[in-house]
Amino acid sequence: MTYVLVTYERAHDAMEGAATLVDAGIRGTLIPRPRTLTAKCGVALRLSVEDAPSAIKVLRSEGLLGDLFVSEDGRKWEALALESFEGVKSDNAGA
Amino acid sequence: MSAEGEPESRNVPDQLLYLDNAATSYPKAPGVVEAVVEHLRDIAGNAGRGTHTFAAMADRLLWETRRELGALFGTREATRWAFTLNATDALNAALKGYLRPGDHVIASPLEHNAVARCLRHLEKTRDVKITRLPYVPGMGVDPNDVARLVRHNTRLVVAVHASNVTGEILPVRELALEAHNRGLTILIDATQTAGVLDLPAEAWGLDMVACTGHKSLLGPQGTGALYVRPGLELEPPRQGGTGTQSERDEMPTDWPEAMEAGTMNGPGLAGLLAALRWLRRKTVRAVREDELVLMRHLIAALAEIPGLHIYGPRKAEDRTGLVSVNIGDEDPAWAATELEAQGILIRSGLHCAPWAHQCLGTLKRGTVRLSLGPFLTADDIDRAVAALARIAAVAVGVR
Ligand SMILES: Cc1ncc(COP(=O)(O)O)c(C=O)c1O
Repeated sequence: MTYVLVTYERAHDAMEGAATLVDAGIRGTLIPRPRTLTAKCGVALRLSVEDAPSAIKVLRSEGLLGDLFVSEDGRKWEALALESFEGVKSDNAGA
Repeated sequence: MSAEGEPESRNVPDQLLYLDNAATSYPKAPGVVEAVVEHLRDIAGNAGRGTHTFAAMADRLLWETRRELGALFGTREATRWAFTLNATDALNAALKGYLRPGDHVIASPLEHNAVARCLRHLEKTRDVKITRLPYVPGMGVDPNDVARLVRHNTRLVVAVHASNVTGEILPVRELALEAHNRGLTILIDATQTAGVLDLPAEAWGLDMVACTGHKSLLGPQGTGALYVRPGLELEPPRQGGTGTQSERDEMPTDWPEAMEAGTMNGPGLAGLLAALRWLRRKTVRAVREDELVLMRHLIAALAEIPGLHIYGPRKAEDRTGLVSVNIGDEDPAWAATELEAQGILIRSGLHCAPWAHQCLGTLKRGTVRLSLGPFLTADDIDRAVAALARIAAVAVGVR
């Protein structure tokens, strides 16, 4: 299963991010941040690839988007460019 | 209400298995929830403030709680138990109240940040010098090292009774003897052992003991206590109203008032009292025996899992009810996430104890910690072991 992960510098932003997704009816899970990723906050927000585009759109509009990573197995994470999300990119083009 | 010894309610869905009792215990002892609610509903008094019926009830509650702590730790002078917010607060009160500028402290190498960070702060602000006792993996801490490390300005030895990372029990009785032989004071952090292991403070000559209400004592968060033996005086952690000697604008020196300015956490302490009473009826010995049965089973089963590394002593008798492990080279955060996906709640990472992780060589990586409580069963342990085995198989298979 492929996952997208959002890491944060402040625990407060991670909590706000998770709460924002709940309000928007999008699924996201707080998990312990993988130790290879060097954000300050010890938890990260995990999204399924399916939910990621809409989640990222909402988080971005709320100013709650941290760094993005992707993993195919939940173990090895690679940095992910925001532009890889078609919907986000086109949405932001006009913003 | 369920049978004696069974927790009264579990609001967590049945499929969740809570194995993070070293962080905070769940469920609490039978009667704790009711005692907190009763206090909020039926006792309007503020201990020490006034003499009306409610205030007297509040006074009595604190007094009985001190007496229960005294019974648990084998101390006669109940007034020498001061209530605190938690263990961190108790340890801060002890260290900051006792250490003077330029003092030297000998600390165990397994101290939690509640001690380590407080000492680092005192190093900066009071020029306190810190020496950590050596740690030999497989051997632990040697009390004889105290004598070697004593300096002319050494005043305190501080040691955790059992590590919240490795689970190992430290030889605190021997450390106390060594400390006293050199004229030093000893402070013990009993956060992970209170209510599970005997710690007869008076018989063992422990000068100060800190504990927290919400872990192995099975009480509410926001409660803790510090014991200081009669004759040992500390600088009070704060100044304010105590309900006694109110004509004076200086802090009283009588205990426990000297240490307890401000309104106490009445509802929390009512819960703690219920927990202490439950523990007294059940007995520390019985709690420990149950824990040993589960721990022997857990360690033996974990040892069978290929690719899984167990930290700390192999013998259950040498440790408290927790174990730190790692799977191959895998990230503990990944293991924690996978366990949670199977409904098992544990804690990965550094557990607020970087010194202990330095001892294990796991400071960069951390560990996966499973910690038990007295209401778990062998089936629960089997379920956790099976889940870890599945995760380890994935890790080994992929590599
Ligand atoms: C050994 C040890 N000491 C102190 C503490 C601090 O306890 P509290 O958070 O209740 O202050 C802990 C809790 O994690 C601990 O395990």
